[in-house]
Order: sequence, then structure tokens, then C-alpha cells
Amino acid sequence: MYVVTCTRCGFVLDESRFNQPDWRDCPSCQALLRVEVFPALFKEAAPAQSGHVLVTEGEASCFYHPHKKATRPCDACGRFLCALCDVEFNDLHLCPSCLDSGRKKGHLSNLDNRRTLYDSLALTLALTPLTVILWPFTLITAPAALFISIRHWKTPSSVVPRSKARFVLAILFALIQIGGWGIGFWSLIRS
Amino acid sequence: MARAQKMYRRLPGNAAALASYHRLWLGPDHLLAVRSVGFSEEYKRFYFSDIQALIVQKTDRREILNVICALAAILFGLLTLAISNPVWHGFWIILTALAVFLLLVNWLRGPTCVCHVRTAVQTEPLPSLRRARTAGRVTALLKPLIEQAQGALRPDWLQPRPPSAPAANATMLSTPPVIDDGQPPSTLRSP
Repeated sequence: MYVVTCTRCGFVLDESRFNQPDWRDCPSCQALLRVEVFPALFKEAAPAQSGHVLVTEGEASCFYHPHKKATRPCDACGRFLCALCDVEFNDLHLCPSCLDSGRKKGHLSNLDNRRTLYDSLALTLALTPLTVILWPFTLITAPAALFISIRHWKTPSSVVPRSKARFVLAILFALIQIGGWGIGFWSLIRS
Repeated sequence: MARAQKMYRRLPGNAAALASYHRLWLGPDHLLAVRSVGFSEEYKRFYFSDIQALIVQKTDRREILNVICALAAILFGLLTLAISNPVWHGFWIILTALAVFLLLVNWLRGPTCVCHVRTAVQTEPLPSLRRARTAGRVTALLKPLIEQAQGALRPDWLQPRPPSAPAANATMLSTPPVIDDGQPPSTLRSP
């Protein structure tokens, strides 16, 4: 049933409070609410397809379920799939294996739910030790920042727009710090 | 990055906590909620065809912050008047001005709220929408996109239930609405 509840107290809200231009109070806790509902609230989910059993010997069968009738090939690997194995994603029809490998290899960015921001890490390593107390640690953090920047330059960053500015700044600061250490050591050796 | 720039558009609103930062982005067919924690980002996608409702609930956070800022301004103001040392006098004047400024900004930004997006499987908060005006703008932006994906809402779906229907907190409808989407009518399902 299309039940919409108050987000504060959980009281079931009636239709008179849906899609109103002004604030409406919850009858239970008097919290002021604005609720916009859409047709998906009233729609029943399509029943899951389990695939048709193969009845004719000449018909193609599913690669993963040989006793089930194939309905279409996988758009990635070409294997025949039954209705159960057919996963529709991003306007493609994929088999579970291709979906999983696509997720692991990062080919299906829509399945990414977490990414590491190596540019922020590199910039933090390059900048954080630049204090009066922590500057000796730049001997370690500067090369680390440089390594991370170069190593992960092409690693997929955030799925939202993000420039390489952090990498560039991290490399710049790291090189300055490494240069400073180089000059320092050279001066020490000379003296 | 160029592809990401074409895909996603930043929506108004943001929220920063001690260790995390929240932001909303608009994709071609979904809403992307980004949570930045440390050096990583976590993503949640809400496809327009799946969104059942957007629920905005007003909160008292603005009033509480107003009281805190006002008390701070009064306290710092009294300290400003009580202290004659010019250095400390200037210090407390600055703090008083800061408290008044924060009070003004908080008041001008308008009422605070919490916003939830509801799908068939979850009711998820959107932490970046903390002000009612921002939530209203984002809702107005999303509404036509969701309606484009799902179709328009029929007015009879929002009609109040007849008096003979079960009480507001019952779990079954007496007369399920008919969904005219080219498929045979179906009964409603519970969330």
C-alpha cells in the first residue's frame, strides 16, 4: 500500500497532505511537512522473470541454465541468456558475470558507490607537514605525495566533475620540498 | 573528467559535518548524493523512475541557532562594555560583531529543514538540503524530471479515502487506484 509516514514520528499521512504548495502539519507531532508524491508510489513493481523452460530441442538455451530458453544474447560477451539471467543496465543487456567484471574493472561507472580521492590525499601529504613542528616529516611526505600523484594520475577520480589541480599542486609543493631537502643536504656535505 | 562534466550538474545545498561533507548532483536519469569522508567519496543514486516521494520537514535548528548567537552577542557585548583594556576591548568587539553577523546570516537564510527521498526500498535523508528554500528549489528542479520519467500524477490518486475506509494507521486500502499505463490493473503492494 502507498503509505507515506511523517519523518519525525512515523504517523501515516493522508492524501490531503500530498503535493500541497504550503506546509501541512502532521496530525500526530505537528511537524510541518511538504510531501511531493509521484506515480511510482502507486505502481506495483513488475514481477520478476524466472525464464521459460526449454520445450523444443532446436531452441537455443541459456548459457547458465541449459534447461531454460534463451531470450537474448549478452551485449558484452555474446552468451545466450534466459529471462532470469538477463540484467538490463544502462540500456544494455548483460549477464551476471559481465556485470560483475564490469563493476570490478570500473567499466560500469554507474555501479561505483565508492572512490578514493588520491589527489586530495597527495595534496594533504604535500601541505600538512608544512608547519614549524612537522617540517622534518616532509622528508617522507614529499616523495610520498609525488609518488601518489604520478602513480594515480590516470586512476579514475570522483564520478562528479573534478580537475587535476590538486595533483598539480601536490606535485609542485612536493618538488619544492624535495628541492629544499636536496639543497640542505648538499650544503651540509659541502660544509 | 569531460564526460563527468557533461553528465552531472551540481545542485544547490551542501552540508559539512566534522568528518564528512554532503553534496547533491543531478545526473541524466538520476539524483546522485555524494558523501565525502576523508580521502574517499561514497555515492548513492536515486533514479527518477524509482523516486516515490520527496518529503521536507521543517526543523527548529534555525531558532536554536538564533538563540545561541543572540546570547553570545549579548555576552560578548557586555564583556566589551565591562573591559576597558583597549586590546581586550577590541577583541570582544570583534567577537560581538561576529556573533551578530552569524545571527543575521542564520536569520536571513530562512527556515531549516530535513529532506528525505523515498523509493520502494528505503527512505533516505538528503543531508545537503538543510534550508527550506534550498529544498524547495531542488524539489522544483526535480519534479519535472521525475514526472518526465514516470508520467504525470492523476488527480484521483490523491483523493481522500472514503469514510468507510480503515483508520489512518491501517495497512490495507479498500479500493486500490487503477493505473492506466497500458497494462492490466494491478493491486497495490505494501512498501
